[in-house]
Amino acid sequence: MKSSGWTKCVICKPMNKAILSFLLLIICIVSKAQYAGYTLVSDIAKFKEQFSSASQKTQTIKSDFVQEKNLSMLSEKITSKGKFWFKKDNLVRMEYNSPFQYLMIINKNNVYMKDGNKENKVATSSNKLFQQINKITVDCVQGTALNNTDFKFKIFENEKGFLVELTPVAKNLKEYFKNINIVVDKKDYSVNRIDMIELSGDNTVINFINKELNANIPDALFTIH
Amino acid sequence: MQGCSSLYNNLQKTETDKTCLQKFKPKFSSALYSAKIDVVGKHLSGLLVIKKMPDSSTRIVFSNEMGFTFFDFEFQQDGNFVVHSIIKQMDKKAVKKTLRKDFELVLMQNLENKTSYSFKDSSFLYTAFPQTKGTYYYITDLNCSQLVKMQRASKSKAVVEAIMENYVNDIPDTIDISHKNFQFDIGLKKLER
Repeated sequence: MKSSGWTKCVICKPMNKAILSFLLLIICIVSKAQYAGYTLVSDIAKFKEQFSSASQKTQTIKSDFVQEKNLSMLSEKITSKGKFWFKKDNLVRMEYNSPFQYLMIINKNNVYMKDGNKENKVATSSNKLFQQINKITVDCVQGTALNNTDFKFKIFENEKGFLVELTPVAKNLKEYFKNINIVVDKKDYSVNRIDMIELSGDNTVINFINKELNANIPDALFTIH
Repeated sequence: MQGCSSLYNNLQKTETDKTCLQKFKPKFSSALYSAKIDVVGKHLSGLLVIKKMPDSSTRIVFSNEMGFTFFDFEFQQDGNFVVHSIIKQMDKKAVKKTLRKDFELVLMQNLENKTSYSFKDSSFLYTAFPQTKGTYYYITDLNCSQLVKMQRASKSKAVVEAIMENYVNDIPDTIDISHKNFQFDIGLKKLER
């Protein structure tokens, strides 16, 4: 009995220590690897200032986009493509052309949608959730996302860009989104990618490619007829 | 015989051959549809994924074009129904029940194990599957070579009518579901990926 107790002591104590340090290591790795390759930015004020001063210089954005919705449980991916235009203030046009036709225009507080031949006009003021979701899109590209009180945020960075992690605070947004992550290019603070993560774990990523900043974009593109 | 107010009550009963319906049962390994839903004056569009899972259940996920999920339903092989997610605005018992029945009608799951009877008139063959409430009808030409329409009916009248057309590789290109007693129409067009 005695000897087995002694053995337990000798073997287990270092074992416990080993397990403990192993666990600590895992915790460290996990917390660091929250976003692979990114580290947490501590000087948020500085980031905010740079982000808003850079986005003040951005009057328009013209871009192509590739959107991917991942249905994790179904192991399915829905990929769609289209064109994106943004003009200050609050003017957005998203035109999906593959594998379906869909047009969405945000003009200030109004949204116009057209699927196939069916047109739908929504005054965002009449639909709170829609208003909030549109605000995200506009905020993301306009650089005002950090002032949106519907979210709390954390900033991460790597050598190429910043990752802004938005966590919803507003109750109705919390019911749909776990996080919305925006990847911003370090060279011009323009948005490269928006990742909307639903509570189920499914997510939708929009990648902006072939971006052109401050190109001349006619207002007519954002007219709601 | 059913009462004289019954739907199709005057038709001649015939031998049941529900195996002929098997060829119309869609084989959704994985299909993407563009979807339009019109509900009492409101128009909703989006994308519908129908996928057969390894456990033989069928998942139907509806999201808008921008990726926002409206609902995620599972239709199990034994007839059970699981709601994995649904947005608050649609999370109502009547809505879920209606959608479940509408999709069950077109999925044609497990028909071979259900009781049925058939009857015909001069142009069509009707195969009926009585449910706890109401009946599902699959209406074909007399040779059962073409699925003309599907119906869900109460004792006296059709409540829902649906069509599946232009099958390519056993998957219909067009699915339309339409309610008779209020405006609720679902239109699906298959998308090529």
